[in-house]
Amino acid sequence: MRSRRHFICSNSRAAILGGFGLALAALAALGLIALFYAGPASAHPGNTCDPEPGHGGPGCHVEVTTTTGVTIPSTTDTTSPAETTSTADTASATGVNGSSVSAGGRVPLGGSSLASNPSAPRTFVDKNNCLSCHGDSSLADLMTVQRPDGSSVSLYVDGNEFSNSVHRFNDCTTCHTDKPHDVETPLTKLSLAEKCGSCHQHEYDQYIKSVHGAPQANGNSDPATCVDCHSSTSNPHNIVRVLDPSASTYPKNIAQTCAKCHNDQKLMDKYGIVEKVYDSYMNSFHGKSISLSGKNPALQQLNTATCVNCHGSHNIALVSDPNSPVAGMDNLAKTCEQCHPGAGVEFAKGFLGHKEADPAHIPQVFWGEKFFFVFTRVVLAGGVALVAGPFARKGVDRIKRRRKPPKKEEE
Amino acid sequence: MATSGATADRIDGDFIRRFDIHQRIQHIMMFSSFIMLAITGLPMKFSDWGISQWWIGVWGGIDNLRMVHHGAAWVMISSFVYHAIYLVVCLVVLRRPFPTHMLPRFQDVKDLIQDVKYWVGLSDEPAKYGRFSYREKFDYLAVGWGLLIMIGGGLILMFPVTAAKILPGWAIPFALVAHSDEAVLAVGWILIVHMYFAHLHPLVFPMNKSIFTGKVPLHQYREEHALEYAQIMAAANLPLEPAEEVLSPVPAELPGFQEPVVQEARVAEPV
Repeated sequence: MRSRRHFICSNSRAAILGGFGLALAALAALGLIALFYAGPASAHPGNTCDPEPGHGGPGCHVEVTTTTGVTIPSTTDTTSPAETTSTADTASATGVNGSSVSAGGRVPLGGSSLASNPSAPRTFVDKNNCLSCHGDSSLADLMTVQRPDGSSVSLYVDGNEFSNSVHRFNDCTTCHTDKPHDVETPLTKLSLAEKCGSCHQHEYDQYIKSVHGAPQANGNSDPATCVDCHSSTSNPHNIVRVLDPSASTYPKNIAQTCAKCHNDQKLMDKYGIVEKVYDSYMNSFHGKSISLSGKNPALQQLNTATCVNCHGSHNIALVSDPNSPVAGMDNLAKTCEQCHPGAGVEFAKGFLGHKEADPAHIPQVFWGEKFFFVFTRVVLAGGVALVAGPFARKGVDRIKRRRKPPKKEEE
Repeated sequence: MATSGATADRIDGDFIRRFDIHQRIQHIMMFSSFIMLAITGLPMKFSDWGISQWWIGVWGGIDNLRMVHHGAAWVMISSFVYHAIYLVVCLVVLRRPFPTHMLPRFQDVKDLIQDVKYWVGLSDEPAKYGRFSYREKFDYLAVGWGLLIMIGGGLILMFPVTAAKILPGWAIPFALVAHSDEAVLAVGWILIVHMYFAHLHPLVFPMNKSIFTGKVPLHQYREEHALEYAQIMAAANLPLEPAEEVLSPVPAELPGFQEPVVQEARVAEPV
């Protein structure tokens, strides 16, 4: 204590403290710059720009819609006085007659609107003006239908959501019949899958044999049907393309989509699925890579396995099914090798199988966890004692010195 | 490696040379990579914390963070290899027993007991240390153990496919446990023990610069390494209490530098 004073004179101490301050300021500035670059990530590529050839989607710049037969150059304003123009776009060239719900052109989009520009006109095909009633939110409460299992389904279709949907250029009658009011629809998960399968034949064929599809034929509607995975709200009218960043099927959102059912304790208990698949995935390398990838979709590196990369999607099978890509170490190793070339069985054995390690299941990891749990705490406690010891002694000495007159202490 | 023995040439003015250039470079490599590894690794372990997610966002996602983590890892591995070569050269080529000073001895246990007595008030004398105190030895050997765990585990996690060809499959999840737990231990130890003894201790506050300059002030060396100090002074034929009064003109009672009291200039107010 006596000897520190001339080692660090006040000048050099101030210089050092100033240096610390400068370094901190530099760090803060760097952080701010980084924030600035990380911040404006709002320019997401959206599904308004997804011209898919087979679907007649014209893409984001062709926004010609008609209200009762009038074509509006809607790049300006849907509510502006309509001027009849002939724009040579895909929609009008193929004779698609669009309809915009004119009153709500500026209603902010709800839900999965990551990609949407609220002020963009709403664009979809509705030849028979179905949405003049079914798109009226004030009528939503009146329009419900009972499912066979007793639950009710709303017949309201959100025009905003639908104008974002991948099927927005399919007329309502593509899925619903020409005379939907005359037809009694069963409205089951199976009937929905069959309807999707009328176009998506390959996916349907896989699905109906899968662990999710097969039980539907027996009237079990617990497992997921098409829209349960392809829409975050299980709504067929807001399905967006699989790789749209707002899609429930986008790699970053897959785990949450599966978790709708597979993180439901009651439902999983019913089927004897004990693994905490969602939590274990989110804590894994794959899960952290996905969930902590950059916020800007343009910069995300989503080249990491999600649920479907290992388990399959439309053709998903029971883990115990020998055809499952994760059944048995041999199949599992082959699945790992899709991304980890040359992985082999031993590599696959390192996977904990969505389970916690315990004395029976990979005991080395279990005891390793226990050892390090105790070890880190014991050593850190020792470190605290090592600091607290001299610190306490110095403090006590100082208090004693203050209380006693200095002469006595010298004697 | 001119700082290995208790020789008279260690004295450099008011300082005693303690670290040679290799040790200083190794320390710079070690602490810079340690800080980078800690600030990129901990958010990955505690990834559900809000601050981690904010910090990972600052870096533009976990992929960038991992890249920096791997880069810093190679710096740390290099410093480990550098130090291993340093030890081999010192022991085998130069035939200096210097590194063996780091090995624990029975005297270290006695020193610890003496210190515990001093801390709890059973003794008025703390232990006197030679070249390395038991705490420094533990620090050093713990870093050695920690580096083996961190580098071994980290390489398994960096090259899991290759690791699974050599090691059993469970080595990969085991490496993750060991790597992340040992990391928390290392960061905790640095924040508690190293931060106190190298920065906050009254003898060195705000920072012990000797690992950068290589030199320790005489008075500090006498307190921290009394036995080796005595050996050096004996080798140099200098008295043990050489220049306390000569070196320190400031009276002992003065706790530190005092700001001169500036009298406020009074301006006569116009009446």
